Amino acid sequence: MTEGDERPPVFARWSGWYWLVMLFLAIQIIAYYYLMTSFS
Amino acid sequence: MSTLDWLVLFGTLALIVVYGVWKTRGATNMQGYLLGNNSMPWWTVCLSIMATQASAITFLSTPGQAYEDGMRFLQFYFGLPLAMVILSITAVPLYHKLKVFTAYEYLETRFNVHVRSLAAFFFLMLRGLSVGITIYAPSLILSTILDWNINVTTVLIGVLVMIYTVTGGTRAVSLTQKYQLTIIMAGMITAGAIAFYSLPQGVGFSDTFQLAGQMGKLNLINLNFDLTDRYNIWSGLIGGLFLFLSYFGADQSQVGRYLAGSSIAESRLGLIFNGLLKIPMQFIILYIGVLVFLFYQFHQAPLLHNPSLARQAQQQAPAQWAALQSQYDSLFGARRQYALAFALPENGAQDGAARQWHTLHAKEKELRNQAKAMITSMNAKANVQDKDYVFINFVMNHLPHGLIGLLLAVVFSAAMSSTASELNALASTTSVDIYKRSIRPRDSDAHYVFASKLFTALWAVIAMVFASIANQAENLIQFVNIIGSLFYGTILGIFLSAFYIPYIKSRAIFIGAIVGELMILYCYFFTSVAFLLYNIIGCVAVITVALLVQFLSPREAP
Repeated sequence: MTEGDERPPVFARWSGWYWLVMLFLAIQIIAYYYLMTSFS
Repeated sequence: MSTLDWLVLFGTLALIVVYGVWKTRGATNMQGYLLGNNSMPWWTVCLSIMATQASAITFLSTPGQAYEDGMRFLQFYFGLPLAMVILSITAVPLYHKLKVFTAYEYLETRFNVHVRSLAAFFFLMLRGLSVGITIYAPSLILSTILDWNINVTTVLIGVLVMIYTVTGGTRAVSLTQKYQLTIIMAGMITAGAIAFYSLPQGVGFSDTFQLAGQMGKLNLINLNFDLTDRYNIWSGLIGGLFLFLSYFGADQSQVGRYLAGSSIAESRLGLIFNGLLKIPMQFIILYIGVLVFLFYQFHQAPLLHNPSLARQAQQQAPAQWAALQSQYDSLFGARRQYALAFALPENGAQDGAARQWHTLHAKEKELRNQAKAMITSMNAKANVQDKDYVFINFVMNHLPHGLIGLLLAVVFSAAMSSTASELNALASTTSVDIYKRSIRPRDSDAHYVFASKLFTALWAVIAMVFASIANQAENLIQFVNIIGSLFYGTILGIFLSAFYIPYIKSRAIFIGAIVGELMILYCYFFTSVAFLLYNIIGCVAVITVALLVQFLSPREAP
């Protein structure tokens, strides 16, 4: 095997799970911001 | 500590060790010993990843962090889910396809043996030194709380981990972590529930948010862009992304966890669920710290949470200490009344109560600082930072018997679970990347399994020795605490070049890695750059220098 053969196929296997992770992160950040501003 | 506590503590620890040894006995080949025969389902992978990252100090320090500083530490983890997505797309399929035992093995396929050995060496340096601290930090706190010699707690943690990690390898590590994390979360949530149910009658769960917010503990999001501030949303998203890419993508103690997945999909799901669960888990642990803070609004908190230092001060300057203690105690009654008015508005005017509470809280802080200054004046070397003792001190003094034993089992389990992964990773890297590759390349599988067991035991002994001498060398501890940042940037630079920049070849990346590492060491020894930035500096330096070297030597064979 020569150098450079083995690299990952970038975005070749995009999955719904990845959207879910990012969506959940966004929802959490908004929820924490809401929690902070509502109760202080 | 009652007999029941000792029974719960040692019963839990013994069960874990016996289960780990019994369930994973008889691994005879490298595939079984180092990769658990690639048999782990995604939930085991996920729990194993989470248990590896959460060391004992996470469960001791994090509630204390929230107690002192509020919940802003949560932002530190915002980059983690993004790192999980990137690694699921890139590293996981590649490592599985190449059927590697360690992440560094991949580097030989992409570059050459020198780059592989260099990365393995960096990893052994950083992990080999820090595994001692993984044992030392909880040992110190437990020995202080239990009034044991620190060597006893160190050897207890080290030997228990060694037993099942040596005999069962990766599979033992993953299987025991599943139960360890379950015990840890059950114990932590029980402690939080007890703190909550000990609040005055009429204070509901939603009221705790109201109280926490008004007492300044819900500082969850900071949108200000400030490079010198460790905890804002930008440092969490950007700095955290780099840190967690290095940690989960190139640190064998994590790579080893998801390499044990039974397929690419199982390993990916393990990482994905870590991305989904990690931040809520940290939120829960931080909120338990907030509940302990609220608990101490209605029950008197100790002047110092480190009982050993408080005892010393009391013995060495009894009159001075008693005067401080008396002032501290006299504030409590009034502060409790104002906190009650906060919590139950029908009891009084809230606005005035808030102002009065903050004034008294500031006075209390001042008295605590005076107590710390008094101890420092008696013993300049004393570590008066007592936030790591807040939670365990609460457990020892306010939880019912039986649960105290369970919570101590939580701390031991957390120390054991992260130590086990680290020892397993150190042994894998030593045997696969150094011993098998460069010292004794052609021998039987049984020989390498035996060598891996020997290396696991050897690293465990090194960790215990290091933890024992760490007590005498404060500077060493500080150095080890940042050692991850001294090497992660370089390792990440090597892996990112390997994944995404085909233009860079082996000689260029080797030179880039050496120069990048020298730059980080220069920053550490000769500048005041914040050490969290070393990850980014090192990574960018490695890639830039490698690109430059590659550009200047265009004739290298592809």
